[in-house]
Amino acid sequence: MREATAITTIPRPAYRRRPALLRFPKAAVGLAIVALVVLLAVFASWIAPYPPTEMHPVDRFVAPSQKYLLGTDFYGRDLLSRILVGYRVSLLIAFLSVGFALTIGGSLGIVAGYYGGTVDTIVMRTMDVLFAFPVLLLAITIVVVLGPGTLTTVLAIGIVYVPIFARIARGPTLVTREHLYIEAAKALGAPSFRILLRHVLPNVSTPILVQASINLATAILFESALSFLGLGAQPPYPSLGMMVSEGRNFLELSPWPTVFPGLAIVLAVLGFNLIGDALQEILDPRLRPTWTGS
Amino acid sequence: MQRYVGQRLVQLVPVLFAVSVLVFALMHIIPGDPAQLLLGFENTDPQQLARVRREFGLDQPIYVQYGLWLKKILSGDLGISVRTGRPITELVGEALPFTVELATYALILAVSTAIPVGVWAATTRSRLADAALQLFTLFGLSLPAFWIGSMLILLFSVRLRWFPVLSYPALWQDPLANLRGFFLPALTLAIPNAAAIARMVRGAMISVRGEDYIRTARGKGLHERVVIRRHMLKNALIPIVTLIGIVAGYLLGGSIVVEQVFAIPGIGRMGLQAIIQRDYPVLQAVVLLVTTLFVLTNLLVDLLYVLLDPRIRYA
Repeated sequence: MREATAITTIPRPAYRRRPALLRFPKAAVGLAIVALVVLLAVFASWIAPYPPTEMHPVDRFVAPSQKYLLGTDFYGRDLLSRILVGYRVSLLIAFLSVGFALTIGGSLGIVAGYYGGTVDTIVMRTMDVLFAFPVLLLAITIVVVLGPGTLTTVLAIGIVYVPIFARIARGPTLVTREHLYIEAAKALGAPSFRILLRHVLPNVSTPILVQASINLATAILFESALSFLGLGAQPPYPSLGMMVSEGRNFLELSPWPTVFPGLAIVLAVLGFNLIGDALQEILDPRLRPTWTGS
Repeated sequence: MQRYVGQRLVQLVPVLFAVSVLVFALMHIIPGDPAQLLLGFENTDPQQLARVRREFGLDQPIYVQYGLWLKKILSGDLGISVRTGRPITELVGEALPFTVELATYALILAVSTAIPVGVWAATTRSRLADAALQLFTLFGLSLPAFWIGSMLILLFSVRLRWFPVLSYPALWQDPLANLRGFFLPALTLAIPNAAAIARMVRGAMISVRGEDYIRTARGKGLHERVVIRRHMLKNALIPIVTLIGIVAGYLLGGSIVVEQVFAIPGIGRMGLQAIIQRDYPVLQAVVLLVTTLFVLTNLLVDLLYVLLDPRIRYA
């Protein structure tokens, strides 16, 4: 009894690891930006000073001021309110499309890697064909076939990303299926679905999540490019890419309707990119900054 | 080597076949009568529709239609634009040089800045320099091309008047004016790609710097510059070339947005105009052409590996 007490009273070493977020400032900044953007999008209706489609004909092309924090556009619509609602559209499309690609692509990759043989050949050769198309061109073609709209944009970006997730998921599955515990699970008579879900999926989830954070960034860029080309979310929804496209016609009169929606896109994309980059560094220490020693 | 090239070419056949089937299917998946799509939407004359159906074999089974279409494509006949009535091959011939020049210019700008910057970031001991590069590249990757293009036009063409607005004389007529006119679009296209390549160069260099042969090279007393160039960079080149290949392919397809922003009459803009004007045979040709170029670029990259890494040759 006395011995046990002695053991528990040994003082803990003075050294303590700093919290993970502080050790990876990129992750901290990225998370802060993403949290801010998501909050702005979710509470857009409450924060926005004006309804996003409300026109103020007297106040056309007003520069940033107290009345209109980021200025107004050609129709006198408040840019801040439109950007906030634009964030909502952009983020919704980005999350849904990456979620779609992650579910479909990830499942296909796991199934192809686990079963191998003909299943693997069919799935991966189909992915190769999708990979053969330049991404933006494929997305545009899908939009042309299905007709522009929010749901179409989700599908177009999602389908383009499916082969990426399939490839990412297949690699670790190939390694995992050779492990002894998989063999043991099989010997115990566990059904394939259970093995895939309980034993393979956890091994595949890390690279998939890293990829997802990177793809969230590119999905926002993608969505804004499609809406810039007039093939994304359709009016009256204010989409950030469409706002830049509209503002461009009046660049010489007022740069603000082009500058601010663009900056808003950059901020959101940068946030997700920082998180993706930090996750990659955490998982592959070789990529960490050169000055941390090596 | 020859066997490897042969194998890669054989592997290309099913991919190109599948691409051609999908592109062919495009005309049949787009809602509406394919004959009407081919004739244009204003023309509803039943006789003309019947003529188009006969001419394009639309009254035949679908596999026969595909065979006829493929035969025409392989003989270099991409069809007729329903808007202009001109052969699409001719339109492509006019637009392609713009896209190829833009993509090449952007690739040269991207590679020539990214490799030195990436090498520097991987070899510097300066905390500030490496952090600055990381921030710069992440920022570069976060810029939407259509926005940065508009900002460059606003700053350098409208305000400072350093570059002409939307003027693209032919390269052989006035090379200097051409390079000046194409500079801003090429820069717009190059920025995110330069950022991606610089990151890859840094990563690849860092991953080889701990190898034994690098220590041996240093131990032999080689100058640090020679170690970096001959031993580190050369061995780091394989992933870098992969990415440059992907970028080259991306530039062809990704130039759609930049061509639209800078009003360059290239292939991408041709495809967009075709969508707006519902000129689907032109869109079909653009998708087929750009995808084929993309696939061929990727093949070229694969073949380039073999030259860079003899291990692949004998694998």
